[in-house]
Amino acid sequence: MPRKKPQLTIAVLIPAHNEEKMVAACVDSCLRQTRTLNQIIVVNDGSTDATGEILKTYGNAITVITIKDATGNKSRAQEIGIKAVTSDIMIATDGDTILHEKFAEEIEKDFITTPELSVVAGYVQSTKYNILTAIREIDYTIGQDIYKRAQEYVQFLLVIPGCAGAFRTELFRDGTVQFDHDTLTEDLDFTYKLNAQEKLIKLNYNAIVFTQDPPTIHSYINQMRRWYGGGWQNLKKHFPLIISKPSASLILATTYLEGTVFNFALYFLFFINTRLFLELMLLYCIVGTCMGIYAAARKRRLDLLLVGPLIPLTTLLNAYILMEQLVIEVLLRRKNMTWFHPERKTVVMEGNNLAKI
Amino acid sequence: MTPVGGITAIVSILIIVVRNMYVGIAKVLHIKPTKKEVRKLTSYQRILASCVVLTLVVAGITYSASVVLYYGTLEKNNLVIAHRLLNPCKPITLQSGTQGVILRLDDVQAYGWSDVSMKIMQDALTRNMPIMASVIPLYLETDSNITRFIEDNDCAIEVGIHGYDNITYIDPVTNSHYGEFALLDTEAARIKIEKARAAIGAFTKQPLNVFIPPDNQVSEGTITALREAGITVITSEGTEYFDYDAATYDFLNKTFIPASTVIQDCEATFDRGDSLCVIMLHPQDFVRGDGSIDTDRYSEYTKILDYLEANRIPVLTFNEVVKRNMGISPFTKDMSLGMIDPSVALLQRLLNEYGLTVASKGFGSAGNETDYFGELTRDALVQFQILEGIEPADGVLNAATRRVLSDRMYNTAGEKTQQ
Repeated sequence: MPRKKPQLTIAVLIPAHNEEKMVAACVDSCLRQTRTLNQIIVVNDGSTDATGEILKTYGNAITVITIKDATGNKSRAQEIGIKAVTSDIMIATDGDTILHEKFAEEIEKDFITTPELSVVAGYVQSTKYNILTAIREIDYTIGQDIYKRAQEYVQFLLVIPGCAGAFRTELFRDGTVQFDHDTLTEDLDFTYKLNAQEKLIKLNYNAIVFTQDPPTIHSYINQMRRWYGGGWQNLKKHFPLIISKPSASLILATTYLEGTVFNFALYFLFFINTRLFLELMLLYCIVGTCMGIYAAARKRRLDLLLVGPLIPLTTLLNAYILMEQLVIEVLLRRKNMTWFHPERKTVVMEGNNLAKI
Repeated sequence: MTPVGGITAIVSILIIVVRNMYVGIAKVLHIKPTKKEVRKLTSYQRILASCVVLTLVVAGITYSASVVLYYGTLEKNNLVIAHRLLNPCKPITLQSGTQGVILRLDDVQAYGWSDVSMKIMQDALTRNMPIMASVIPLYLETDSNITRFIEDNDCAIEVGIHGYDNITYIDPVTNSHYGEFALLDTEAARIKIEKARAAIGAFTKQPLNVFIPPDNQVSEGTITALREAGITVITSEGTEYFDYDAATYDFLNKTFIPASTVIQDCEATFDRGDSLCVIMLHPQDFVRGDGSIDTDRYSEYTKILDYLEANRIPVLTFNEVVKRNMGISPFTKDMSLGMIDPSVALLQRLLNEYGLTVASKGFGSAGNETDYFGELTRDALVQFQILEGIEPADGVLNAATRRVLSDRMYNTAGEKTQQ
């Protein structure tokens, strides 16, 4: 049987602001794809470090769009970059993210077999670095294997990861998705808009990306503040959606209400009954251990076994940040638009580090 | 990133399971999902459905969060822990004396007049008197008021086991009443005692070695099981151990007994030569038909306490009584020459210990005490009566002699414990 000519053209769009440590690995992973990408576009968003020089070394293999003064927001850089995309499909990723060599192949399959598909969301894995990133990896595993799977089944995906989404470019051309630049998390904003218009979104567990998660407590807190702050901003912005789609009501209400009511109860419990609080935390440690065991088996990473019991610690921290952001964004209406740029560490990816699924 | 995830996880897993089951069943039944247009809901219907879902989620999450907080207030909450740290249980210094009273409060249980039970106990404790709470273990843990009271006052009250469920069996044919432990064999009794101890043991550090048989009935098997379990104090009618001497309620005639009668009964007990008077109380004695406290009757209880306080009669616990070797008074009747009775052996032993040797060797000598009240016993008793100034010194164990004998029993034991 003669091999079919590819019916679709695929581009990747990488906004990069001071990404000298990771941008080369990111671009290299795009060049290594088993299904050759038609366009690799990097938006150098006013980098003041060596990002520009590194990008120059690739010559014609990639398209570099340089913005002199930093826009300060990823979605602005994306908006500028998207004008250069001429392909049918656009992969949106980050300058610190590494694509699995089969990423493009996997998403192409989906778009071909399901023509009405608007977006394919990839599967995010956290690069092995330290305890904090290991906990995050367990979070990703549970979040994507359980929560997101359920969300996909009821056709309401809460978020298409900003570092692992493949969109039909026409969505940005016909006005389905517009850049508003009014929230801290543009990926969440896109997802709400797509959901509101009943666009079909698929989760592909084989379209893997490796992302670098905050390695220090400080940067972790900053990231969670951005995510949860953005979460509340978007919930406020798209609030009508919650009462116009039953599946949206289910997913949004459980996620955000449990996040606030239950967390508040948990913190309150600490003050009224420390003993019961500690008992519940112990129980949660056991649950965390089970989550660790699952993630370790799924990702074939033994270190995840050890960090499982520590999950309650980050959960409590997350709970605090979620409530803090609720107060700042919703109750005090103090909209925060500061862009937190997490510090990066150079990560060398080895071929066998890529999970086999 | 899901903030907590307990309920979200349950909802998600449910969705996954239901969906996969649906797909699985469709596969088995060879139902191919048709491309037929799914009937779209109108926007009004969607809003209605969304509101229903929202209400359910809000209700579910609010309910579960409030359950957690509610348990937070029930269990050993910080306020209770702080209160206990600031107000630790004050142990009661037991008075010494030749006579003593035990306040035995039966039927301390979850919900059943537990407020009255606590008031009865609290009023004794404020007067620096210990009280013995005979607790029904079944469902005890469901009433945090009573368990908290027991825990708070663990050092001052004595906790006894009042059966396990304390349910009386009534024979449908003979209409006879059998207490919970009246018909049990050793194994059945053993299981019940273990369960009872575990249930009460959660709220007290006491050894729980006092057993108050429900309906005052115990089978032989139960006695064996109780002894095996190390329970040293058994109160029961018909045995020589710690029967009650006075009560605030007459179960035969179904009438309340006023304080004056209770006091008279106790005095009569002391007059008989018994050094211990056990006063049996039930919370329901002081309750009206509607469950509220009967203040008139309750004032009779405080009168008893007033009397004990005014006359400086030591209020004790069963464990203290055993330690002091009091109350085990086998001498409940007059005894004289020629009688055969098991308690004669004890009389001979006491006389030997007193120094009035009944016999230097053979029957009646130390270690060889017998059931027979013979001439040697009579002679030693006459000597005792002369030495103690009891008249007439006729060698008959009458009430006056019994009283003095009880005193001597206590004094000998008292000296022993002081060593």
